[in-house]
Amino acid sequence: MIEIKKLTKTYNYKKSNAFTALTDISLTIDDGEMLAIIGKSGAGKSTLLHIIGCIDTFEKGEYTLDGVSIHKLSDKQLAQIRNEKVGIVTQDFALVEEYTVLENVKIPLYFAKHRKWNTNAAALAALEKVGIKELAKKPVNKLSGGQKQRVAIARAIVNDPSFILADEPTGALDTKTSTEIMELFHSLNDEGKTVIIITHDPTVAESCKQKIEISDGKIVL
Amino acid sequence: MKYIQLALGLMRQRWLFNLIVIIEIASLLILTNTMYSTVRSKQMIYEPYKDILRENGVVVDAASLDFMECSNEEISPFLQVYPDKKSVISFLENRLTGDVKIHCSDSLTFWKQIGPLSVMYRDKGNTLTYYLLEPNVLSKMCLPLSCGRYPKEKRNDNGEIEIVVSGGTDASLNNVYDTPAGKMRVVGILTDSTYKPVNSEIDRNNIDPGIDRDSIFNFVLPFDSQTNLGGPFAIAAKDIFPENSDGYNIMANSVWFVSYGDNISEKDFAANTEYLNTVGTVQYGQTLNTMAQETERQINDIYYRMMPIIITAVIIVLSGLIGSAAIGALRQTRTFCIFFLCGCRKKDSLYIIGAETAITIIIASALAATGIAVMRIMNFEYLIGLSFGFGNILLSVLVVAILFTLSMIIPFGMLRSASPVLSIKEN
Repeated sequence: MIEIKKLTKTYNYKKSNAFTALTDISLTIDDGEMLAIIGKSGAGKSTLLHIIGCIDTFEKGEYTLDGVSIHKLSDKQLAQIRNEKVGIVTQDFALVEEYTVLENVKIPLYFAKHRKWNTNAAALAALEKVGIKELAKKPVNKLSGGQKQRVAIARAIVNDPSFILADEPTGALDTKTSTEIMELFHSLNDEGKTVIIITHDPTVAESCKQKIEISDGKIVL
Repeated sequence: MKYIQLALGLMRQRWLFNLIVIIEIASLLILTNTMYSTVRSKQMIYEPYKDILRENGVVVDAASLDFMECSNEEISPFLQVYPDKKSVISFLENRLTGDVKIHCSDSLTFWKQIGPLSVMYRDKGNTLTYYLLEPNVLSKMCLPLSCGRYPKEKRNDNGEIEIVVSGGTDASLNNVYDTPAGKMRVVGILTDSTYKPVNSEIDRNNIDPGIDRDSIFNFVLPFDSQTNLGGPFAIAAKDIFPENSDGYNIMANSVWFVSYGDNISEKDFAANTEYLNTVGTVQYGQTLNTMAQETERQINDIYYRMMPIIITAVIIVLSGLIGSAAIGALRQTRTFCIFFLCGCRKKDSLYIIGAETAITIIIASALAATGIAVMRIMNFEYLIGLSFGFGNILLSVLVVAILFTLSMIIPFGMLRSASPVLSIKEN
């Protein structure tokens, strides 16, 4: 479960060009939830997602993930959370273009605290789940956008995290592919994973169980 | 292990770029090692005599003693009983006056240059100045057939001089060498039983008195215990050795350093010089100090000649390596951000870059080691005068450590200041 209380994020904190992206955000996301975060560009959606995904820090407030307070964790502990508890999917897929599909999916396995002996098998299982096992040996730069996003999702789930965080996952995809990708997120949610999606697409937002809107760094809906 | 796997994956992305860097580093290692070995080979021969040459004294060419051609009448019967060099030196020291000591070297000798190589002396006006050169280079590069004295005649029907040579060399039967004296054909290889190369005398009784003295060639290069190379080598006209005979001993040419204490009087100095000239040739104008200066000048000349090349090469390779590491880090910032999303720490990114650099340097070192091994197999170390040793390993480790450290600095700085969040946002 994710619990955020009065969280404030300020970029360039204590500097003359300081900018507050999130102000007094409070939010609780239960396990197994599927939440859409909507809002205009610059509203603070991505910042919130980055904080939830432990790839960014915050100055004030409290954030607990499965009962663990994130605020004072070391780099190593934060990395472990990103590796084990959270799977991140981005709009541009964030894949190493020169790697093969399999090599991309294996990346989180290299950084796992308890490394799986058979990383290939784990990666192939994740690829099978997203329906592109047969593409395992292909370089990702030869794939379509939809296939790339599936690779990104496979990589996000390869360590079996509890939370899937997706930042505009359908933003670069056509309608048909977007629908397929959303079906994939729904099936992951059905398996019990908590899915948080940032989107501008009302259709995507409507398909989620819950949605919140952020405006000027505050939750307004 | 994971860092190596990830580094290999990243290296594969830029294999051509990495290949160029590897060749660049390997070239630098070969270059620095070759240059170091060149200087070292010169120093090796000088080092044992460094202290002696700083003393007050003279250089004596004692070759005539070896050939029993000295005019000293009391030494001949002595040599019949005590033919070893140590006894001869002791004998002579007792006959010299004042605070005097003779240092005898088996590994040095004078030879006038005949071939294209400047070997042991330079003609400086009317004065011959000598300097030291390592014997293993001499033996391969200059001797036995490109310098020295040669048989006068005794040519075969093809106009070739027939010679016998000592064993344990590259020379084989019927090898023909071009020498300043003309073509020489090897018609015999001396075995250990036919001659004793060092510190002994020629048994004149077994030599045909009709043979011209100049047809004996005694290019004896004493064994160098440091390099395990060199070794006595003799060339002689074949006629000097009767067939199936044993016991022909060839004595080493010698250079003696005669050092005097600070308080030697002019009278003693003159008397000693006169006496020494009966057993050898005192090299007038060639004191120990001038020989030391000449030798050091020769070594320093090599340093000075090589320094600009080494410095330029180091700068080129270092700038290339640092630049490539920086470009690599820049290009890979996105990759490391992706790794960051997947649970990689900044520290891990540095380890990956470190592994990448280490792999590059290890492959380059192996390549350089192979190159040097090939050079050794092809006898380059003798052809161009190189001495490889433990110092080369130390130098290589030092160069590699510098390369590694410098090539890590820029990527370290870049990654340290890079924000994964900003990079992710930018991408």
